[in-house]
Amino acid sequence: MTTLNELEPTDRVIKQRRMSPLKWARTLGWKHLVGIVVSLYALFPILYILSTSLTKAGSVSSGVLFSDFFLGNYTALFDPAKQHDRPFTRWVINTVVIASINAVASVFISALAAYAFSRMRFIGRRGGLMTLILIQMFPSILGLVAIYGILSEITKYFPPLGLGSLGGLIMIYLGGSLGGGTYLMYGFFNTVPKELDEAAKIDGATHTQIYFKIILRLVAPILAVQALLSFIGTVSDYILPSVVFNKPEQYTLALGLQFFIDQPYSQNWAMFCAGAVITATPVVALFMFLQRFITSGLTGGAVKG
Amino acid sequence: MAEQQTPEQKARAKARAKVARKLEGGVPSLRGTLIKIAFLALADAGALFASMLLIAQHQWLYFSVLLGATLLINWIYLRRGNLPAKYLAPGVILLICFQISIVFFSGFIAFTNYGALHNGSKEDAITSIKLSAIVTDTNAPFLYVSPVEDSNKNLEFLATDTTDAANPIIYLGGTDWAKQPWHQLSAAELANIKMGPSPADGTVIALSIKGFKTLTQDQVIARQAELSSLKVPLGANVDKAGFMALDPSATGVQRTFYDAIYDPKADTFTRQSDGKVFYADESIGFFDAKKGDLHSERISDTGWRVNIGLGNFNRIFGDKSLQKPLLGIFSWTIVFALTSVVSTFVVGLALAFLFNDDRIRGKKVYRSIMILPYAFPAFLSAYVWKGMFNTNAGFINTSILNLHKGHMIPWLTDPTWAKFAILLCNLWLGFPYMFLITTGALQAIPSELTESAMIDGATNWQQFRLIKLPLLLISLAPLLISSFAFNFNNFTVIYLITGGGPSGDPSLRVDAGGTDILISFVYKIAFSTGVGADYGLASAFSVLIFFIVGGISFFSFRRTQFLEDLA
Amino acid sequence: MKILKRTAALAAVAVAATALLAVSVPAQAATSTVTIWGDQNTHDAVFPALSKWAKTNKITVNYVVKDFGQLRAQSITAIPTGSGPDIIAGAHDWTGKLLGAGVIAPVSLGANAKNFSKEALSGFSVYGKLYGVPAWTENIALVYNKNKVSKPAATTAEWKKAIADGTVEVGFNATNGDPYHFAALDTSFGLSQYKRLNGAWTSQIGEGGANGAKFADWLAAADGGKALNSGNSGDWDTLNGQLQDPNSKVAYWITGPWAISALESDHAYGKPAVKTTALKPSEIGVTVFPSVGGSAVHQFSGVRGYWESVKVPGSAKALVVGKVLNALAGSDIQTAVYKLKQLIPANQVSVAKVTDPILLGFGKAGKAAYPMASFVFQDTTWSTLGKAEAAIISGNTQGKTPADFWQAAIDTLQSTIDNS
Repeated sequence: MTTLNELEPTDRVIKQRRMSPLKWARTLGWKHLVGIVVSLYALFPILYILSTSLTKAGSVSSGVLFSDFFLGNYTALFDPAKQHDRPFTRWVINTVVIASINAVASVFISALAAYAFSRMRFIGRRGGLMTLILIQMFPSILGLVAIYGILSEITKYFPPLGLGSLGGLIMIYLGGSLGGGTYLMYGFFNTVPKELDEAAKIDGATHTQIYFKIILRLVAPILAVQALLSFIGTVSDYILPSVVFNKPEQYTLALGLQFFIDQPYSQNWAMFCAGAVITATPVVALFMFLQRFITSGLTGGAVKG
Repeated sequence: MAEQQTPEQKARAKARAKVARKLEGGVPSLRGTLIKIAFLALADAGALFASMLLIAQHQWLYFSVLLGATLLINWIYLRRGNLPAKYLAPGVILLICFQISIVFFSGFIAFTNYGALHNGSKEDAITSIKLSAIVTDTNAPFLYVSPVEDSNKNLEFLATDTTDAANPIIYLGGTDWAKQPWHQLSAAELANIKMGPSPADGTVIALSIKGFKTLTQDQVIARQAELSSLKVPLGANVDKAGFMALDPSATGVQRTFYDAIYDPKADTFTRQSDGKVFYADESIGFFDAKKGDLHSERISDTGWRVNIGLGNFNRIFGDKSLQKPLLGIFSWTIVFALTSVVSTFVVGLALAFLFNDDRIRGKKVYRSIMILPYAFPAFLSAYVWKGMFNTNAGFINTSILNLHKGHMIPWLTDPTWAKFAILLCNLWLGFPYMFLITTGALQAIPSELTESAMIDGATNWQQFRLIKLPLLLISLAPLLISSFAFNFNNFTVIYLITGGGPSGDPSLRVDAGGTDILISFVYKIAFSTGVGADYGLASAFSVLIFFIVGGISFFSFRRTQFLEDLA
Repeated sequence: MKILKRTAALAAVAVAATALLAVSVPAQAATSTVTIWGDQNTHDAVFPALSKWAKTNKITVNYVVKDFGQLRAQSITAIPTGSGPDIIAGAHDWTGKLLGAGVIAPVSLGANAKNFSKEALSGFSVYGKLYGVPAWTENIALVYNKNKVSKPAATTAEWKKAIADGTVEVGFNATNGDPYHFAALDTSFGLSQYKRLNGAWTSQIGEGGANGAKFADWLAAADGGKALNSGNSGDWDTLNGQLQDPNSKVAYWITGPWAISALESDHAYGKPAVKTTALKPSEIGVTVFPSVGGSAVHQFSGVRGYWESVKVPGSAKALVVGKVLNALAGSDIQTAVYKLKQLIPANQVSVAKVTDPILLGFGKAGKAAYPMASFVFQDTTWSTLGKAEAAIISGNTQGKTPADFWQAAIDTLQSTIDNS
């Protein structure tokens, strides 16, 4: 297998063409079989959401996916007449704004820290990095009471960062950004040869010039991936926004979507799923777009994908 | 993964660090300096704005903390050198303000009885009890009112009893019993009255009286704080006689009285009906008849937050009714977290091996599909899985397995099936991540290693077991540990799919469900079930969970190469 | 020296820039704005009439739609910090917890007081003091499809047979049960959630003893509780569809007025899917519950309503909030809500205007209903009883007989209550 891997592409094609059906089944065919089975497992719930979002009744009750093709749920979400009660369009905008600000700011902050940990030697470096990893293991869902307490205290004295403010939510997210991204970025920064910095230093570059003009450019893929992961994390979070926000027009998609299913006797799964598809599509698209870099992003450069 | 450093490398690193310190920073450029100033100015502006607000509200403690922090930031960025601080400051400040503070706040709550009946401060509790002690006498007639003001701007109530519409009785009185006593108007006074329709419903009432100015609706609204708490005594001793108070819509007044009286000096409530005294009990946060006795009578169920020392921890370790379910939950938490990591890792690893083969056509398509679950927001997926697992109507039972009524699999209602369902869903959520990282790790294994193994005649399986797997485990260990820690606290999956259910033995005092992991169990204590929210106990648990997860992770990390890398 | 100079210059520039950027303090909230927290359904029912009233009274009502399940907890955390609502809209049995947390103030209904029934008021009262304004009442009744049943079951024998034949459905959840709907069944065995004294609830659970054992055995019997058609909350289509489907034997449904609008629209259920069509109002029957166990049935009545935040009295918007509460209690808004959403008003002046035969049916069935208790420990009671019922029906009694299992659950519940 390994030897085959190392053949030139042209050879490989020739080999493959010459393969007898029996051999193909034995070496590759079963892999396709596994691939198809796993793909079905991976795809199925997503197809189910998509199919439900296209039903009128709100459930795939006929037992066959895509037996309906009803686009009314999607148009209803953006229907201007319903925006007063369920400002879906606002939720989309809010989500994009919050997730984007958070993605950019948290990557900026954790990249700065990762650079310090990777390139500089200072007291508390080991302990600091370890603390960062451990502190994010605090069960944040149980910190809700504390988060609420702190934000409401801030609200009394400085409303722009308190309850019901975008700033408050972003601050809480950014507070966790060091723990979330620094370690993986640190690993990736380490893969950039230090000789580069030194050469630049000798040429008279300042530390900021080295950082912004050399290092950040070399680690661009991980920055993109970390931003993406942070973006997904924010889009998926339905807990913190529910603590911070009070008005439906401030809600994010994850929080707003629950409105469609929170009434025990009038759950609207079709609308929920339509909203879910709209929520997930840009995230999935970004993910696919950045797929090439994701492996290295996840493993922090410890391995290269 | 970086290799072990040799002594020479270490020496070189030391020398390098020395040079670096000397050269630290280089000579700043003008542009860089200007950008720096702009950012600092922005931060200072924010701080100045916040400090003006704090000064205006006389919050000197917060102000001095803010001032100190601002000075520190300016010092860090304006002085030369000390680079690590410059790079770490933004993150660390946010970390301290919004993450570490949360951990400490939770730790603080863990030592209090904060919860359903101890929700606010003592002042809040007293306010609430005092309000509850004000009782409207529903047997007394409801009198229509016109709030009036005398020449000295003192408010009085001009009230009309319309019980007998033909012969309305009219009263007048103010807050000072001695000067403006509540009384029925004499014939002489009645001559000064102007009757008319009430603005509320048109009933004919006394609208004004000579010598007084009747408040307009706008003036009523403007002075509502004063009016709504206005008490017009019905006798010299207001505690005994009661008083007239405005109804919520400001259309009328009704006799009102205190059924308990607060004595701020003694810090007690005295019940009027039987004279019983209730003391402020600082040890348990209630006004109760006998201090320190949780079972003695209280004036009200409304209490306040007090420090109870190790009380919550004593309950966790001492309460027999918690022990048995806790043990079960703890072991399932470990099983859940371990199984989740192992199952996702094994599936991810197997797929990575299978598809690390360039001959497979459509490899990219497979890969793209397989990582979809990772890209899809997890809370949405959890909802969908929950719907699909529904016993009678779910897609899995009715369509995929094509089961018929009576033979349906109770996915979410049987404890064992529910555990299986949760693991199946978590496998779906987690395998793409493992697939991605193992693919990466596999490709990073130097091909020389496997080649030499081939030459030595190792089989594929031997190559895998003896060379690739150990290498993979070394490089991926930190990620696997993090994954364990993540799943240990994987609230979303449990909460959204089963809510911790199906519920266990109802004869237990706590609601320990079949799929409850520690975090979801504690969430229930904190926010929903039982005799009400118990944030104190929940915080005590969260501190313990933090130590457990942190401890396991810390010691696991120490066993990996992680710390050596940090040299 | 040089460095010092530069630092000083930098600091000067920074301070100057700061001063330029300084902004003014935000304005205070208007005193004529009243914030209400409530769920979507309440919003849809009340807001149209309320906002119309508010406009003519120059009051701004800021209705914040909240998830019903989180509304109470969020109010409890928010009000002490001063960031909570002025008025909470919810179900009357929250009163105990809201009061225990010290977040609500007593209310007086003023001139409207005489228009409310004792039952509606008792739902919002704790120790005889009124804390909430009743909005509308809800109780369950026996709903049936007139096409399948010409004369509904009325005697114990007829009702037992109807259940044994599998013609009765009730929307309980197989994990958590549903003691609210099951009150139509257990109370007929002479049980009550708590023992009653002088027309009020005590804190003594009334579900145990010999009658409790009879009920537990009935729940476990193949022609008793096991024969009930259940559905999870996600099975709304099934519950509606079965009753609508002319080919299904399900003819009765233990449910409340909230189910009616769904019965009046199309559904699809089961496998292979059966499409069922809406019932006309004239095809839907609503009647009083017959008794399974022989004793009188006392299902629960629920009252929706509003509470005032503890922060309101004596504040700068005390009267404005009071006016809003008063308007919500008044017959104008309550009648408008009935007309818009077919909810049975709590204000008797509005009740007199109800003409809809289905609602009148619920009203008649509700005469025997008791308002749900609103103890602080009420949630525990609901969940314990519900789970025990669900476990007995599913045969999951952990090796105990149904009767023993039921009694054990009640004993623990009682001790939890006594120790709270």
